Amino acid sequence: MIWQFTQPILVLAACGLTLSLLIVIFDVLFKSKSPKDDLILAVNDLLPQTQCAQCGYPGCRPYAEAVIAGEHFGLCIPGGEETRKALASLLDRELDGQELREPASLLARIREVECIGCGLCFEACPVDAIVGAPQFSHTVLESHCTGCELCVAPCPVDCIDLVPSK
Amino acid sequence: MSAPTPRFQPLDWKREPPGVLLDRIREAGIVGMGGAGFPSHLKFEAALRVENRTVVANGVETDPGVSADKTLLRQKGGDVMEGIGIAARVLNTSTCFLAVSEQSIAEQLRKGNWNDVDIVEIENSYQNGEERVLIEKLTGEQIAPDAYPAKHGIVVLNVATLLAICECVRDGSPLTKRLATVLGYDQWCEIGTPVSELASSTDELRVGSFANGNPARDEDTLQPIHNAISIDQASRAIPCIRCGWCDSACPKHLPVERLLNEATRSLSVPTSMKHLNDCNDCGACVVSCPSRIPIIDYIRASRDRNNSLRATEDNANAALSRFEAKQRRISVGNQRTLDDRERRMQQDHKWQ
Repeated sequence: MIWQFTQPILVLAACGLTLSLLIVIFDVLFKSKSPKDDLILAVNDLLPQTQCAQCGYPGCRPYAEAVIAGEHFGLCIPGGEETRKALASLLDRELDGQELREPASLLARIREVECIGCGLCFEACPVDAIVGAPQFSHTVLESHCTGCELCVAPCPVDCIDLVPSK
Repeated sequence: MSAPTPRFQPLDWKREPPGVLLDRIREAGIVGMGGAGFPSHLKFEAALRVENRTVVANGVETDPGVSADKTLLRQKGGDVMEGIGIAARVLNTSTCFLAVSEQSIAEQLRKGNWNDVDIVEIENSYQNGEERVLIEKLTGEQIAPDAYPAKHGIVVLNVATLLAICECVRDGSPLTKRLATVLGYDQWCEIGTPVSELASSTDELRVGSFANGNPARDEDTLQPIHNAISIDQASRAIPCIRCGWCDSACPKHLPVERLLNEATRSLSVPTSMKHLNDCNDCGACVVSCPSRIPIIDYIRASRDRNNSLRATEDNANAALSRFEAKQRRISVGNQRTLDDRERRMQQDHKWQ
């Protein structure tokens, strides 16, 4: 009589124990190294990956790390309003009315007759969108350029223009 | 309307070698006039690479409210038949089909004593105008959705294209006008005429049939690929009642209703991307819709948005991987420089 009641209780308890053990094992096996890393990856995924450094950090990943460390999340210019909103909801921080420059879709273009082939823009480009050999004219691969403007400042002869892309 | 002056030398197609005929078709710039605008000479060239070639003349016109091809067969059936003869000579084959959707046309053409062409009547159902469906009905061969029939030796040409081929070869006249159904009436229209010249209506217009045409813009002109100018049904659309008729109408069995409802709410669902890209814009769903919803417009817009989103994402990922590669390259380079310096420092310098 008592067995009739205890049997299901024991079976269910055994099931519960096995499953909780499994959960513990999987948790140990697949645990991320730190929750902070996951958060950095999540922020990095939302950033537009132009590597433009307009936020003041040398790339999207370093900015993501800075955001987690306490930097303001609304500094990404190419991402625009959408990225800011997405980051605000991810981080559960308040959107403030900070005005940023409107994101523009730009492409760098080298005026090739004026280029002296110094290669400074080549070094400045974060995404390998500039090709050329020393002492020869350089050019921008339009499909690779993210319009980050980082090549404009280093050019000693000011032969790089930013043109709106389609 | 005076006959256009011949631009090319008229050819006697029964005597000229097939290569000359093909060159003429290429020079005249004949494109598919059924709607896709695919260059015809490419179809012939692809088919010439395989054995067992077939010519299929597609006169199955099932666009609702469009009758241009039927009128064309009635008026110029003989010329179309000559066009089939030219295509058969180019391909060096005797297997020719002409598929029509009306019995009276088939009977009229059979009187013309065109023995080498098999005139087949096809049921007038919307899907049957699609070339893969048509090929299966005629030859029993199934062509995969991502394969080109021409690569299997089957050249499917619209009857208007065959008429253009016949005229450019036999008469040497370029393609300057085509038969189009303008607001229900078949008329010969000069190619390049603004749509607003051809048809005036208080309703919105659509270039092509109402099922799969595009909304007419001010700058639109009649092109060889346009078989009709119709009234746009979109302004009379009422909300979707989720009847599911579009799902059962779709010849590719896509979940049209789900795609439509995702599109109206501007959702981009990853699993729908394949469906959107699989759709070949036939418009069967629009024909079936009891609410007159221009489903195809939503599908096209949704496809464009999804594809541009995906392109942005791909670009970001590619930029990231190039950035990381550059970082690695720089750090490896720096490490190598440091290592070199270390090694040189430890070397036994002979001049010391």
